Amino acid sequence: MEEQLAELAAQVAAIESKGNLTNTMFAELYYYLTIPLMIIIHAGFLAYEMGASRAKNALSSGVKNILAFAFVIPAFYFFGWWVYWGFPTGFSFSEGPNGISGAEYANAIAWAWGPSAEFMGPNTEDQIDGVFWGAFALFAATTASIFSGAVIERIQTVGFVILAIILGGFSWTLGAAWGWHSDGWLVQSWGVHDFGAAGLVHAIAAFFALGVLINLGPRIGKFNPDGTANDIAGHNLPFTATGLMLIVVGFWGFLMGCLVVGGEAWSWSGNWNTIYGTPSNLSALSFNILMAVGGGIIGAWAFTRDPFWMMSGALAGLISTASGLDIYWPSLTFLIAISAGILLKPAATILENMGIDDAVGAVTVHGTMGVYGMLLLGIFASGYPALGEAAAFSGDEVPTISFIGQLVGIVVFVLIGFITGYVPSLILKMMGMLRVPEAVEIAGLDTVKVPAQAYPEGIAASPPASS
Amino acid sequence: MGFPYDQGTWEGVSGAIFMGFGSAMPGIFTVIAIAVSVALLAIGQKTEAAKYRDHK
Repeated sequence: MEEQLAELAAQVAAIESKGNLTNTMFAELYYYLTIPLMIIIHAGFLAYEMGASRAKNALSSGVKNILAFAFVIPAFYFFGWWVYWGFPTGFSFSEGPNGISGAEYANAIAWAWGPSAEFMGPNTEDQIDGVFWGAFALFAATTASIFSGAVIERIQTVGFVILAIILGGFSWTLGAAWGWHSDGWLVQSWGVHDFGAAGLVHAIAAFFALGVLINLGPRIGKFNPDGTANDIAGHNLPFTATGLMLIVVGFWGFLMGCLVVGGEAWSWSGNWNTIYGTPSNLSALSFNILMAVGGGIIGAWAFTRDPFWMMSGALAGLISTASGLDIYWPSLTFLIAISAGILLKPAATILENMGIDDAVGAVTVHGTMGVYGMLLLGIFASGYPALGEAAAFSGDEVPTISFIGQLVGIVVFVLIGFITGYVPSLILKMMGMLRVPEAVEIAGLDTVKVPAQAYPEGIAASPPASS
Repeated sequence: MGFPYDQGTWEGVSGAIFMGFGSAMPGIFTVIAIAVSVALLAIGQKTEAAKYRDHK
């Protein structure tokens, strides 16, 4: 009998070991797959920006966008990952209640030198850090792409890249450390909840862009002497609309990356969780993402009939509900998304009337809707626990979501974005590295600095074949 | 840089497997990579500024 029990125990242990291995391998693959899906966001932004540019600037807009991706990724490797783990408790760099933050912890896992290097490269015992880092690096690159569209057709390439590095490597990462980390002071003290990063990715990137736009100024010809605005149409609206749809596709990967796989090394429990340790799952995301996209498109269609704004409405629907995609009721998601689609164009017009030339509506789509979404969650989810039991400050009451908490969170995110965009761009402006000279802007950036032509044969209409 | 483990075999190896593990090399390469990135940005700015100057 004892022998049989021992044999049974050995078999159970073997099964458990294999189950853990399967779970680890699934988690690794899961995060890995979020990365190519998120790269689709960049394919979308690339098409979106090039299409929204006039033909004379199409390629230079593409070059700028590609370089943002290329430089932000290593910047996040060199220092962005450290910022995320080092800053959650604020500028004290002290360890948070869960013991996974602070300078000492970040030094131990997030520098690409010294003892922590073992977590920043190939390691047979570490199957999660690289893919987790990769997903975060793509969040960083997404912020740069959001900013990139707003400043097309007049910003200098290197000045732009420097700003993209600051945004992707530091600004949004600081917001994520404070509001998207179980030790983050905004979460622990104010119950901030931003599941899909409406505030800490979208609003931070958008208000960063606003800070830069103030120093950069509008494109030549955008505003008349009396202050009225002219429409500067991009050269390829079908390309732009397709790009926007690609961004929506990529957001499935982005939002996948916002869930923590149950039972793996970083998880809080055996079930799916948010980054706050609160429950959610892929089923919740499927319900709400699809309803948000549909609602946003319908809202924008109702008031514009314009495919550009309709597809921007899809993004507005997603962003306005992103903070609560884990817990919203799908019909409520749909209603919020419709309202976001309706508000989108008037909000863009208000910004334009303030003399801001946001070429693709990035500040409105990502900023206004990010703020709107954060605040709405404070109303609808008031009283919901902001942290899971396992992630909460042990022994203390679990912080709850509230309107005031969400308001504090979004004010902090807006300030992070705006200040870190405005100040460096002002310095670049004083150094003559922000805006291209007037003659270059008039001639077209492709003509001056891109050794290739977007349309060497023009865009000639071809006659149909004879039947 | 050499194989970082005592025995010249993968048998029993568990942990970091990248080149230079356990030495100063990973850090040196990281510093060089940062320096190269900064230098390429500086060169990029110089050549782009020249194109702007040439186009008056």
